[in-house]
Amino acid sequence: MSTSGGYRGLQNFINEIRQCQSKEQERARIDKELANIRTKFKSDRGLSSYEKKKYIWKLLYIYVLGYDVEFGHMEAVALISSTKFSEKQVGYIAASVLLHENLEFVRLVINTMQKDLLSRDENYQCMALTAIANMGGREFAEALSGEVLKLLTSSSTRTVVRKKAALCVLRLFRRNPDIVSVDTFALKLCNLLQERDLGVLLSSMSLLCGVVSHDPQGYEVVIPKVVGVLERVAKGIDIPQDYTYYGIPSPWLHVKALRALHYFPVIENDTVWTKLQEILRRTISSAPIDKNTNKNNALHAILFESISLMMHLNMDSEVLAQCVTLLGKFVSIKEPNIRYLGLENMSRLSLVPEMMSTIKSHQEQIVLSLHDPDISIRRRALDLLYRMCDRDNSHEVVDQLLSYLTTADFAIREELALKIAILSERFASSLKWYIDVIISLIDKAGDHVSDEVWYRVVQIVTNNESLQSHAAANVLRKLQDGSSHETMLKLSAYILGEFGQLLQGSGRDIFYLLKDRLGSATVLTKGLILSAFAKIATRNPDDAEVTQSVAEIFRRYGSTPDAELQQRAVEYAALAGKKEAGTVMAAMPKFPERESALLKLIAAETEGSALPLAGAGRGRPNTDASADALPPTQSGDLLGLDDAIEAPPAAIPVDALTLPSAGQAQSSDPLDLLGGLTVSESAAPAAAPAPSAAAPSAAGADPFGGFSDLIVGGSGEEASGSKVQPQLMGGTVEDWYAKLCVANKGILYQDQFLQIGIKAEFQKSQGRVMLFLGNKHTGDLTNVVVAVPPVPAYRVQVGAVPNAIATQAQVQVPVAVSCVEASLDVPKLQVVYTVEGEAVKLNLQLPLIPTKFLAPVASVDGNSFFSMWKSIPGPPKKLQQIVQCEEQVDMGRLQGMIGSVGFAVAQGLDPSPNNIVAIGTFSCESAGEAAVMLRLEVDPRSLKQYRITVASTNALLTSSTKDLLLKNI
Amino acid sequence: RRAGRSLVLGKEEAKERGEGGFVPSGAVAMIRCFLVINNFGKPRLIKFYERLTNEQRQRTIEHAFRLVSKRLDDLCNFVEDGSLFGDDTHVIYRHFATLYFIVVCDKAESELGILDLIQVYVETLDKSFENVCELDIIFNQQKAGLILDQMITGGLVLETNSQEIEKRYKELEKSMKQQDREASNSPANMYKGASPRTF
Repeated sequence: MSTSGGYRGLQNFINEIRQCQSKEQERARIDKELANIRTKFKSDRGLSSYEKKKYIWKLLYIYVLGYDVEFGHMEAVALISSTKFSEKQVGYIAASVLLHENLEFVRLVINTMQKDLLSRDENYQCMALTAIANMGGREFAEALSGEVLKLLTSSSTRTVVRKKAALCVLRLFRRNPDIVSVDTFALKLCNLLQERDLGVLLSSMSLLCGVVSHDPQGYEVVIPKVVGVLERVAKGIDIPQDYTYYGIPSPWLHVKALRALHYFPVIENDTVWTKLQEILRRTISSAPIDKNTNKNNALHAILFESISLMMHLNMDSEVLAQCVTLLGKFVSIKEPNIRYLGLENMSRLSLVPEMMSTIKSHQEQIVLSLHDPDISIRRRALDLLYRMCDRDNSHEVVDQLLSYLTTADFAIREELALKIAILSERFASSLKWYIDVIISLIDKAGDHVSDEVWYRVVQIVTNNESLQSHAAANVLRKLQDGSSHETMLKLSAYILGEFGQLLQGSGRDIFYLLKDRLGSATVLTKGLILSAFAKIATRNPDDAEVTQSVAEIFRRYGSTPDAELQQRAVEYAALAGKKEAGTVMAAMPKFPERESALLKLIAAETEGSALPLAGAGRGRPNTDASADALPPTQSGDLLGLDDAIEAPPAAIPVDALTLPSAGQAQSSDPLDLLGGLTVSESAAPAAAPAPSAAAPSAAGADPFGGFSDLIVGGSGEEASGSKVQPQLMGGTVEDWYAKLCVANKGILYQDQFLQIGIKAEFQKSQGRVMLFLGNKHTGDLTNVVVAVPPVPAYRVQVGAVPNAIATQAQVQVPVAVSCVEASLDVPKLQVVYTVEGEAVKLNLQLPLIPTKFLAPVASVDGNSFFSMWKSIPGPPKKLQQIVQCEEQVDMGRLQGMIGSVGFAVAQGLDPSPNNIVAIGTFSCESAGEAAVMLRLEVDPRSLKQYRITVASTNALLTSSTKDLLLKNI
Repeated sequence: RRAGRSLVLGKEEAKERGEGGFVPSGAVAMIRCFLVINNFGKPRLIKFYERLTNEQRQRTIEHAFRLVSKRLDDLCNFVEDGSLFGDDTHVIYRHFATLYFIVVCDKAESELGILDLIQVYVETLDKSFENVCELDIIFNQQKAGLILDQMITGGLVLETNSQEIEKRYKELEKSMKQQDREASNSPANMYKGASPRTF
């Protein structure tokens, strides 16, 4: 056995490493070796050629083991310029591994590479070409593409060099497509494709694929040559024995040639087209299944690629049908690779509409593959079933997918649930069926069903009276069967609260089923259940057992620590028995028709347009109910301002859909509610608690959207004709916000009417934010409302807001904030006011980000810092990134910025002046204090590149801190 | 929601590296890496055709191993996983005795073609080592790496003919030995590039 190195020291080293009992031992041995090699490289005694190579090989072995090798670059560069073949070889291998990141050394190497490319020794040329192709730097494309192209096309180049040159050109072309111009290069490719040597043909074909995948225009002249090559391998003409693989003429070249033709939209030349068709037909009709796996693989590689090309070229449907039949055979074959590829290619063929009926005839077999032991195959089968689903087979396919859902592995469930939701919506034969499917989906895979899905169900059921009792009966049955998933519970609470009375005589059943689950439900769900109870009690006034139990529950929740639930319970209790209760608790109005959030969500996945749901278009137009159109000014008058502060308008941006719905849905439209209340003036004071009962929940989120446009200007026409258009002054909202992320004082917003300034102080998890609202207008700003809709991660209390701001005056609004947990969600700030009779609404963001709750740690000793640092192993809690900057990093400014974010720079922990180590403590109510650590290493040479590492015990905290720092460096 | 967050490269990062203004389309066929990992997850030969940091490389190696090592031998040889190099890539692997041969490549590469390529590599190793085993690769990194270089260059298939690959390797080896012998015989040819200080 020949060992090309035969270095005894290397062998011993490898043996020692292999005998290490633990990772620590291995690391210690490697550290020792690295130190040894470093000393050797630095020593004044010149190393022998043998030693140099031996040490580089050791470094390469250490590299393969996964250790960072941060030196040896210079030695590798020196070896490359050696005149000794073996040294050069080792140098090049080391360079392609070690030099990746280091531009300086790459420049040093370029010179030598140029020489080697021009060398008369083909070995030198090959080594340089391999290294260039493997390293593939942009610098190479600039400096060396001329030489490489010459090697590719010169007639004196030997084949072994030419094929390497072809791949090298491709690599450089990908860096910079301008290195070739179509006019001359197309013809050069033609010549290359006439080579006899199959090795050169293969790499030239790869080069062609790469070039035409970028842009095929101008390269059409090569098509006949490609088909020529194809004919040669397909028919086995002039193929040396060496180039057959298990008896098949170079399957790689065959596949590559087929692939190359993919990049051309059409084949115009009739003779060529006929020839190609003939080759493809032959492949299809002679598809044997061989006993030898390797031979089989090669045959199928050609076959699948041919099928794919036939589809691309739009061959007649008879041939394509033949393909499907063939694939159908593969789908049921034992060999898993072929089964996998059969399904994959059938998926592709399903894009051809005429193929659908043939594909459908294999449905049974495909469904079987859903239960294959191999997840790769299950995924393919799922994908294919999804694609082949249409109106005709949707019931069957969806039923299959639903039954698969119970056994499907976790990795695939989310995708499966989404696909069921999409298919059932897109191909619903009836709304009833759709609702039933979705309810089963939520029941079986609630974890993977997003809120949009159940919102959609509520919307459809509300808008279609014929479905209401059916849906109520369905969820009731699910509850009776023991279903208790949180999402199922939310949906049930809502549906049964709204429509439970349609199920004659089950009011009490419903109440007890929900009551059983109340205790263990989350806060959000509890809120929905409480609302359902309020409705049930209102509608069953004669059932003393239920009304008393409900009253008891409200009493109990009246002292619950959660503010939202408490308020709900108290207010529902106060409302009970009042004559307005019937109005307040009336069934929800229909929702205005809007685009399905679900369909929007998966827009990327949907080919073809989604069919609108039958009957869903009967929503109420926005304008028909005058109560809806009440401008906010009036509601403000009615409520009185103090209430209004706590009761922000129902205008929730559509993106609030993604927020958890803290509110009870039936009161999500307070304007509607107020419309009811204004009927009798005397009712207004009596109902004083009622508006706030409705309002805070409205602030949560309107999960069904669609009302946000009402508040802005009363109605659409009014808004468009409005003279009052706020114009930003002196900056953009994003810039102001970004600045405030690292500062505690500054402007949040400014237009010609209003300026909002912020001054904030933070201590541990608490913050006091003072908003300064300045009226810049010549008239008063009236009906001012400032509100912060609740988000789970922060508790925010807005202080008193004066009703009006006089011209040129400034008012202060204190806002108290506590951070509950680290979160990427930022509280929104909504400011509404009226100027010159028109309402203006601003939707802003409060710069409350996790780092605001970061406090510097005064002093930390090295030991405890490093032990904490090391205790956090890696992503997602420890994140690292290397960043290039345009300009040199200013260390002073950097330290200042890190300080302003809330870190304390730990001086002296890292001796290098170009490194910064910093630490801060993040405080929140749910998890107490957590250390956040930062290490910044600036490249001392250029100062234009740095590596940032952030670590903390909370992944969210780590990533948000890192993002903030990156934005500000 | 299920967007293919790349484990190795963030979207931004990938864009940043965007190959000199020309972002390769999904149709570009390229091998991203070739890994030989033993049954215990120890890498034995690694070849990356992308510029990655050491951490990204380690993450790729670990992740690729996790993906394939839990699969039984009678399953198919393909795994779809976008978290390594994005949604347009897949993992193709073969398991021989104590070693996994893993290729991560773009979907535009023929799956079976890559599978055959792995076969050719193993057959070539087998011929040049006479019944190759894990130890041969451990102690002969250079040789295993050079043979791979004769097959794949810059992430593209260079040569698939096992005889030709072996022949090329033997020629290389011969010229190395020959020249080394000449060099050691004549001191005039001694390496005189850099000053001794650099070594």
